[in-house]
Order: sequence, then C-alpha cells, then structure tokens
Amino acid sequence: MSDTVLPAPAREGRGRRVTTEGAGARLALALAALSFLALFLVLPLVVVFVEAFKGGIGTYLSAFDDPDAQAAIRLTLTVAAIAVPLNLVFGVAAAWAIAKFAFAGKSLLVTLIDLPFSVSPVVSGLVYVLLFGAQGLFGPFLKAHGIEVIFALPGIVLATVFVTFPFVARELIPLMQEQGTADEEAALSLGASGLRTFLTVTLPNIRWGLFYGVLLCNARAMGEFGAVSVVSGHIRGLTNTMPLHVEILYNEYNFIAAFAVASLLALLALVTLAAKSVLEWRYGDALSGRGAH
Amino acid sequence: MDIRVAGIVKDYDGTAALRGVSLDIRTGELVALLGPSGSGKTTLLRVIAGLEIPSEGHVLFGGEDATGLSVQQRRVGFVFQHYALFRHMSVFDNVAYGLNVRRRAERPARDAIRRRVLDLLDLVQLSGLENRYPAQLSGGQRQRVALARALAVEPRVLLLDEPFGALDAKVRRELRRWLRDIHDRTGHTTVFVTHDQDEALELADRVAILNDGRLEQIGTADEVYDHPASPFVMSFVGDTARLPVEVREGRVLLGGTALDIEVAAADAGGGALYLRPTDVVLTNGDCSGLAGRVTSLRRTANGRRAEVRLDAGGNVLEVEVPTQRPLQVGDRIGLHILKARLFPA
Repeated sequence: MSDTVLPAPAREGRGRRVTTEGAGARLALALAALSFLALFLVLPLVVVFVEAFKGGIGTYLSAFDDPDAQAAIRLTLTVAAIAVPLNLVFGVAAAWAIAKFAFAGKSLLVTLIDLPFSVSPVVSGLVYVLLFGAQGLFGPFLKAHGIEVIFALPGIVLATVFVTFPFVARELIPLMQEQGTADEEAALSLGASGLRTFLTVTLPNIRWGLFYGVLLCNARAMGEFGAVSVVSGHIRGLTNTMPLHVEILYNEYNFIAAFAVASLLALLALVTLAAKSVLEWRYGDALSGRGAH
Repeated sequence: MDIRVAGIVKDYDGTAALRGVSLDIRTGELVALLGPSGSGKTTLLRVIAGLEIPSEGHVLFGGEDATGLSVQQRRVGFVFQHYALFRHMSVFDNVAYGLNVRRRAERPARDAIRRRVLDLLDLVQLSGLENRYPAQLSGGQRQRVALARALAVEPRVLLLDEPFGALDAKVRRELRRWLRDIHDRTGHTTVFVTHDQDEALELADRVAILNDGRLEQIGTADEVYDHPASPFVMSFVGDTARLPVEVREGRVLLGGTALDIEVAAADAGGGALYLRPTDVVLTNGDCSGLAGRVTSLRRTANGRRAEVRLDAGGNVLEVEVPTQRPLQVGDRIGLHILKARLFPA
C-alpha cells in the first residue's frame, strides 16, 4: 500500500445534491421569479385596494350605496347561482361519461369540453347574438313569443355557462380516470343500484376535486367580462354585471367607485386562492387521485 | 351452488379475449383459473360475476341460466385485485355496505347487521379494527376486509381476482393457507384467478389452465402435473425441456439414437419429447445411452441444476442433480430418462 494522501474533496462539493445549482444561480432564479410575481400579480392587486380606499373607508362604502352597483352585484350573484349548478351537473355528467365508459365519439367530446378555453370569449358571446338576437336564427320566433334572451338575464347566463363549462369537467376527468371503476364495480356486486353507487361511492371519491372545480367555475362565472359584455347590452341597473359595471365607472373617471367594486372581485379571487391552498394542503391526495385505497 | 360455463366467447372490438370456454365447477369446490397474462382468465371470472357481458355462451348457477342477470341479481361475492375498498368508509361500514344498500324489506335490523359484521371481522381475524379506515391498514389486512365485505352478502359463489397479487411473498403464503381455511369452514363455491402456478396448485381443488382465450385443461394438481393435456400445460406448470424426436416402430429416436423409454401414444412420425429436470437422472458413469457434457451448474434450494448439452442433436437439457454427487462443468455424463411425455410436433 502506498502512503499517498488523497487530496481532500472540495468542501463546497459536500452535502449537496448533484441536481442542485450553485448558490448564486439559485438566488438569481428565485429573485427573477419573485420579482416577476411581485410586478405582474401582487402589485396590481395591491393597487386595486389602494385606489379603492384612496378617499377613505366612507367613500369606499358609498360606492355600494349606488343602486346601479347593487343591481350589478345582485345580477352577478344571480348569474353565478344559475350557471355554477348547471355546470356542476354538466361537468359531473361529462367527466363520468368520459372516465368510466368507452363509447364512440369520446375523443370528440373531450375536445368539445376544451372548446370554451380555446375560443375567444367575445366570439362565444357573438355566437349567442347570432342565434338569439333580433336578427338571429331564432330571433323572430323568440320575439313572437315574447321571450328575451339577448340583452337580458338568459343571454348572460348562457354566455357564462358556455365560458365556465370546462372547469368542473377538467378537474374531474383525470381524477375519475385515475380512480378507475373498481370501486363502482365492488358496490354493484354488493347489490347497490346505479344511483346508490353514484351517491355513496363515486361522489364521495371525487368530492374535494368537485369542490375545487366548483370554486374555480364560480370565480370565473362572477368575473367573466368578454362574452357577457357582448350579450348584455350594458343596461345600467338591469343587465350590468360587476365586471361590466367596473368598466363603465372607470370610463366615467369614477376611479374610486370602479376600484371599490373591483376590490370585491379581487377579494373573490383571494378567497378562491386561499380555499384552493387549504384544499391542496389538506386533501392533496384526494385531489390528485392517488389517495390510498 | 355449482357453476356451469358453456361456450363463452368474449370479443373486445374484434379482439377475442375468450374463444369458447366451457367449464363445470362443483358445489363447494375451490377452483383456480391459471394462465399467463392475456390468457382471458380475469375476463372469464368477470363474465361469471356479471361484470362483463359475453358475446356468446351461457353462465348457469345451480342449473339456472344466469346469463341475463345483472351483477346485482347474481349475488356473487367479488374480491378485487386492488381491494377496491371504499376509502371514505370505516372498515365496519365497508363490510356492512352490501347489507345497508338492501331494500328496507330485505335489510336486516341494525343490530343484526352489527352482529354479522363483527362476526365476519372475527372470521377474517380483524376484530378491533372496525373503526379504522382502509388507508390505516396493511395490504394483507385490506385484502381480508375485502373478503369479509364480499362474504357479508351471503354470496352464492365467491370470486377472487388475483387475490394475493399485490402482496409480498411472505404475506401471500400466509393468506393462501388462511383462504383455504376460510373456504373449508364456510363451504362457498370459490373461483380465483392467478398467474402463479404454485399458488394455484397448492390452494385449489382443481386448476383450470387457460391460454389465449381457450381452456387447455382442468384437473387436480396431480392430473395437470402428471397428465398434462398439451405441451402448453406441461411447460406452464413447471420447468420443461423440449427435445424434438422421431418415432419409428414404437421406438423414440433422438438424432438417430434410440431412447430407452416407452411412450403410450407411439404414433409414427415426428414429435417432441417434454421432460422436467426431475424426470432425468445421472447414470453411474455409463455413457452408452443418452449422454452429454455439463455446460453449467447452478445451486437451487434442494440440489443443483446441471445444464447438459446432449451428444445427440446438440439439445440442451436441464437435470436436477443431488448435491452429494461430485460434478464439474465440462464433465461427460450419461443420462437416464425416468419418464417423459410425447406430444405430436
């Protein structure tokens, strides 16, 4: 044996993983990501609240005394209260069909579910004008029967349903696919009916994913601007939703009121974000579908 | 309850999973469906359960046609490979599920259900764990909950899909013995699927061997070991060597050398001789008959495995050799065939 002493390995090479970058690179990357977030996400959010409270809490609250603002909030809540339950049902039905059954046209259905994401909201609004507007395909029929769709609540609901359709289904499809059909088969083999199986086995298995999907769907339903703007007609106190009302106030240089209403929408986003974080932290396994059996 | 499967054909979009399988299972019998993956064994089990609808053929329970019955009406206990326990329910609620979903008129009273569930948990040795959730149990415990849940509905037959497939070797062996015990105590007609021939032959009264959607053979362990119906069965239930031979005037010729064996079906012409490592023994130095050279030696649990390249035809044969017999790679040895099966080529 030789007595050659091996040089001690470089100290900084010890105790760190080979995939980890050097301290300088890590710091630079983290700073770049954080400053991007601060500039484009946090700062605008802060600005919304700063502008809203510029004239003090009294001015902020007085923005909601305006009957038009109250009407806009009521309309937004009404639209969400109709559109979200509808998409809850559609989303569960679509996800159920796609994840648990093989049928012709399945890939077409998957593509169609994504359509609202790929189509510009303005276009989806225009489609409803072309269908249900005065000069539209069903226009004369609707007029003859005294049914208002465009520039009224039904049109706004239709546009919102269209735009928010993918959220619940998108959230559930991978989850249900991952869970497979063995649980349902087990319930059926034990004598449970199809409905009973759905209520006692399928629904509990997807409940957190479903809740998350509904949360996102609701946030989008309340915040949707483009499609609703086309079909609403911007009638103050009647067909203005909150996002539309914000735009009108802003265009009238009524900045404090505009930001006050906008702050409600921002608050909704924050609540959604917080609920999402809590869900992921608490029920991460159930959401990803990798939950232990 | 006896089960009769008659002429079952199952197509999946043009690919045949089962190509006409007929099978009789007697009351109280424990039968294994054995085969490589893709042989159709799980599909057959699911057809019996009513989870798959066959393209052709009939399933009869106790002589009564069950083909048109839904899975709920068939009253089978089905145990899934990955347990399929309801993860949001406690062990107790899992086992009670089949009783709780019954129509009010058929549903036992609350305390009757409770008694039955606790009895079953006792039977599967899980007493005291009724308030746990599936995620808090080991794999073996989950499998036993799944079995208790299937037994709770008093099934007419018990069907298990690869019941020990996801468990490690030691737990598998324990559960195997335990399942046999449960079967003997409850007397259910039981069918289980496995790809493990040791498991099938050790546990089952009879083994049904499937290959490529067809039933190759059904029989006891002795029958499939000693009288395999086809080369596939012979090679699937244990290590097998295949020697191409010629049959002339009742004698079996390997590369021109006559082998010292008698074969029952001595059809003239070509064929193949199938033999197991334990069907061949070393002679005491006599190399006048079948002989060859040792090309490798391996230690096994009970002895040694020698690979022998035969002089005649150059085929390689695996031979089980006792450890006390001195032997080295390169040795020339004589072999004597104790028994072998001849199948037409």
